[in-house]
Amino acid sequence: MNSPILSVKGLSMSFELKGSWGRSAGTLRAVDNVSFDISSGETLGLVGESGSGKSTIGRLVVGLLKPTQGEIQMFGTDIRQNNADAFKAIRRKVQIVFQDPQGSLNPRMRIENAIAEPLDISGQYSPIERADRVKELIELVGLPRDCGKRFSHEFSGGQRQRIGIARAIALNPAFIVCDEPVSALDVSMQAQVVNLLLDLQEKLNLSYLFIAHDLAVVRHVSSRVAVMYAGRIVELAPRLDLYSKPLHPYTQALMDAVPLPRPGMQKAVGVPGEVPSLLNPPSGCAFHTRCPRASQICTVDKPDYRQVSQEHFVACHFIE
Amino acid sequence: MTSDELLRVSGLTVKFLGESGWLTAVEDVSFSIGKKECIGLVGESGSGKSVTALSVLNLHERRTTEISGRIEYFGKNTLTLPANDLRRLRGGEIAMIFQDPMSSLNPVLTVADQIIETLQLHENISHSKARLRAIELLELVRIPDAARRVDEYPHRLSGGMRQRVMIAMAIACKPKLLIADEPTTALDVTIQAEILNLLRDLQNELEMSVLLITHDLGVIAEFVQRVVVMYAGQVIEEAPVMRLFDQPLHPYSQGLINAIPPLHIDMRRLLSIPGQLPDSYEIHSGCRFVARCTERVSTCLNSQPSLIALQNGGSSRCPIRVELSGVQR
Amino acid sequence: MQMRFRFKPPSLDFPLGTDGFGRDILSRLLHGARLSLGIGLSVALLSGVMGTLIGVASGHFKQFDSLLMRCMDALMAFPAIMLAIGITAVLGPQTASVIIALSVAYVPRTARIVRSAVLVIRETEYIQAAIVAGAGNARIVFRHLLPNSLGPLVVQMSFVFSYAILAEAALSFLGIGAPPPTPSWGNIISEGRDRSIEAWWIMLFPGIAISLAALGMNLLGDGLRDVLDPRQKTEG
Repeated sequence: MNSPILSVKGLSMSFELKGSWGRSAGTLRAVDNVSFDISSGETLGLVGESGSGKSTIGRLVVGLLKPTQGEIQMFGTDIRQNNADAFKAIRRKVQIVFQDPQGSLNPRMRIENAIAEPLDISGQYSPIERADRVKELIELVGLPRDCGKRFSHEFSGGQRQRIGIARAIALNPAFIVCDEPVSALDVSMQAQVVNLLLDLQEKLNLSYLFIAHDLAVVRHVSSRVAVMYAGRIVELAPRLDLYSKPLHPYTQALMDAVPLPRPGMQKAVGVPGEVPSLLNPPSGCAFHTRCPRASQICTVDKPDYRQVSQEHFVACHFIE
Repeated sequence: MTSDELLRVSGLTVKFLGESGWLTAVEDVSFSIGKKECIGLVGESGSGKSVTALSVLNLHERRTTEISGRIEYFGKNTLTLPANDLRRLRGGEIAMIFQDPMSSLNPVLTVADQIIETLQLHENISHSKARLRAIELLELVRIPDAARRVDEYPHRLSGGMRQRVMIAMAIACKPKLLIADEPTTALDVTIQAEILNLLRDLQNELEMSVLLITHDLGVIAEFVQRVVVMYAGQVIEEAPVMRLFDQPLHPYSQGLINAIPPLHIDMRRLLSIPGQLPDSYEIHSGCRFVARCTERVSTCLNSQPSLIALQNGGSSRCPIRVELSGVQR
Repeated sequence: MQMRFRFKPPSLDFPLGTDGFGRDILSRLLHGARLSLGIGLSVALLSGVMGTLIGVASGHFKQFDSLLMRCMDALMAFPAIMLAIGITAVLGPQTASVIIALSVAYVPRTARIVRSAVLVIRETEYIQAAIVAGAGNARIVFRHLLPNSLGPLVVQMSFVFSYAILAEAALSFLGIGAPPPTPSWGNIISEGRDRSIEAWWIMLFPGIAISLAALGMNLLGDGLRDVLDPRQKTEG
């Protein structure tokens, strides 16, 4: 088992909210003690609903946010290097694809410049090399060859996502954080972009952290899946295990809530109650307010994140 | 219009005036909604489904919109109703809820204020009675602690709660038809299921018809009885929900269904529809889906197919598939 | 300057009439145009540049934000004319002082607008993408923040142009603008004050000129903003 490309240990992220006159209005715990590894060529799916903390993890991993606690190691080195050059070198190997096809591209830049921006910043490409690389990237993501001079508003949502992906792979990264890359796309576009990501993964030996709220999409890109609730990972398992034998009540509820495109089959079941406030989370296990199996211990004790079998981890009092 | 029909849309065509001239968003759309029936209007972005939904209550900007066709509700054409009658219809017998509950609720009014306002617009009811009714409505939409919640401002409520408030406002005057434009798209999936169940129960209790607009075929499969599928401004298939998923009679419908990533099966790759919605389809003469269709033949390029009515209900705009399926016209 | 032509109403010889010194209003107007328009443009540009610097510094670098914005607030508390009066009193009544005074007076508005635009843009995903790609502050400011703030900036500058012309007219009217006999539109209006009823043309025509210039600049600003909108551009 080669050493992981990305190793996250005990990661926590809290935001101090400021009220009026600079007084503190409370602490928001967006991420609470999260740990996981990702190996070369692997995809870890990160699933959760709003307020789960999944997007925050994405931003922490690419260095857009600084964690309040915990360690992020890339290729064995802590990314929070004091050495600016080392940080830059690591940074080039990790890129991000965003959710919003509209906001992820500068409307005033021709897309060839948007795609080449990482190349320009690295300063290691001559104009000819740059032009060649941009052409190569445009082809790799399946965009029409001569579209480089156009502006982002001339493209559809799905195409803009492709442009964002081209930009992300420009510097040959080893690892890409995909932050809800298909959530804003129609289902037919979604399928196209997912297939593109899978193809690129094979061609370029990429690893992904694939963040999404759609369990069905995540199934088809991930080798392992982590489910998050209120800032914690509640279950992490290899794909087949998670989908055939979900152990955590929240994972089960999430699966039962998806409406299936088969009329006449069982109807989707919702979960009563609301997503917990991260400012004022419930005591004990954050899911206890909505969990069908909750009992006394759940209101008091936070369950440990335990390994229950080979590569399968759960945080629940009722799973041994 | 038969006695079982509530709403009949005939030949609806909607054009918008943009910077580069008139754009046809919806072309010659026809369908009907029966009493107590749930119809789904399905399509992707650019299909014209939302534009169609907004036309029922004539909610488009008059200056820059050109609408033709008829939308008949109990013998009256909503597209040509005088302003007062239209106002009475809106929120009264025909109600509408939208996708984003944050922008559909007035942030400076409490929930009570907004529901009371709706009630008083349509009924002669005193403020105190209206307030009691507002609390009743919140209970009906299953908001816990309704008597206290009724005085909250929208920003203190979660997305799911706000959507319930919207539903409460919509059903306040016991509408006969509820138009729901992507009501659960902005919600988490666990909340979505709750809202859908709520809508289903309300529909039964109040004996309403529902026109559900969405791009999510899972929601369609669960909720509606009949489906109208739109592409590039046209209706390309209409079918009872079982048949649509069993035997789609248009390649686009098939493509859409295939593209859904299955939750319980593994697939190496997802099945996608090649290409994308063309920028301008008004120019060429053939079928609008031809550029992306894997089943096309030469005739598809030359003539625009018309909607073929089928004997067992429904219709399709693909003569090839209809022919092959053996379904009678 | 011919005293027998004093206060002549508009005629074929003097299309816009003459003033109290027998000077042709039309020629004075045209001369004054150079001054007034020049001042308008200078003020718009100067306050635009200074406002942009402050707005970007404020919006992008959190540590400067509070300090800069409080300074802007303090400056905004003074009506532009008062500020201008104060500054010209110190610097002496010349054209240059008028320009400096008005520029300073209008910097806060521009700074606020640029700062707002920058704050919004900073949250967009393309900025985050640039940061993740390793972009430094210089690149972010010049490649991303500035180009996308141009729209509101240009419109604001066209307003400032109009305000400046009006303000200059007011200052001249009050006697603190460009010193006589230099013609400026404000000067001419000021001179026509005493005979405003009988020699109405002295105040009217410069007034129309000011209105037209202000209107024209606003329309130009709107047009420029549309031209700069990338949505209007297509390939090549």
